[in-house]
Amino acid sequence: MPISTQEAADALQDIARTQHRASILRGYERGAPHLILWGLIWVLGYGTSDLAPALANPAWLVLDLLGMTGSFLIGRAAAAGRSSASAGYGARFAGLGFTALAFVAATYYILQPHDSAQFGAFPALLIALIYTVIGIWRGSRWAIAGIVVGVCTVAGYAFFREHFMLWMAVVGGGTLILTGLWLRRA
Amino acid sequence: MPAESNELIHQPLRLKIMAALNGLSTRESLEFIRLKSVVGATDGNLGAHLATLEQAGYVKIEKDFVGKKPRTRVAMTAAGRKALAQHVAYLREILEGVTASAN
Repeated sequence: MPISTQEAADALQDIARTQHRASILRGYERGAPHLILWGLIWVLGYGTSDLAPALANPAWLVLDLLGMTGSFLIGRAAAAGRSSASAGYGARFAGLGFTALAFVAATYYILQPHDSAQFGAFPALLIALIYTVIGIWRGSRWAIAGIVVGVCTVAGYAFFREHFMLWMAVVGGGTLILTGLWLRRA
Repeated sequence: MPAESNELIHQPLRLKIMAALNGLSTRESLEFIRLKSVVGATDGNLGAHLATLEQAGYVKIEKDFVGKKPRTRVAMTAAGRKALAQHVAYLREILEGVTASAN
């Protein structure tokens, strides 16, 4: 049976819509374990910062290294099935980690934060920004996660300053874990 | 690549299935539950259309277990990619034909 012009146009639109949706959902699936991992790291890192401030620096150093290693392994496993993504994955990941560390270090150097809440809030706001920007292009759930983390960070800084680290452990870390589970179910 | 109409692929749900799988690399597959979410179908409906596509040699279905949970994964075959590309080319020709005749 011949296909009409309208049917052809509708079919091509269906294909484009489905490919876009599949791509968004694949992004959620690949991102979910990273959010859950970093949510756990926030719970432990910010929790240690509140409960045992003297141990905060070594704890964050170890946790950040664990997080980077975990994210690297998760990303490499996901890229293994895609020849285009797996080529040079290690170098790209190292570049990403170095850029993020350099940006945070440069910002601290220039803005000179003077209390622990400021040190704790900035990386969280940076993560919120990154997720929101990803969400503008790659699916609303990322943007919602970014906005919730950003609003919670500012709210904790404004209203719960004395226990800001504990607030970030529970609310910030919890938001990342819950969002990770939400992305996985999409 | 010659443009050809493909009645089997042109069915709306099968077209969506093929479009969703076509975005994967040749070594990747999609879990049944994820594919269901992408194309917005029920279990039974999706299963029936996948069986049709599998019979035509357009998709490959693999079943295994993750722990005790059964898992079904679907991947597109080289023949499936070729058939979809030919059908898409045919659909574009229809539209381009209309545009050319309008100019």
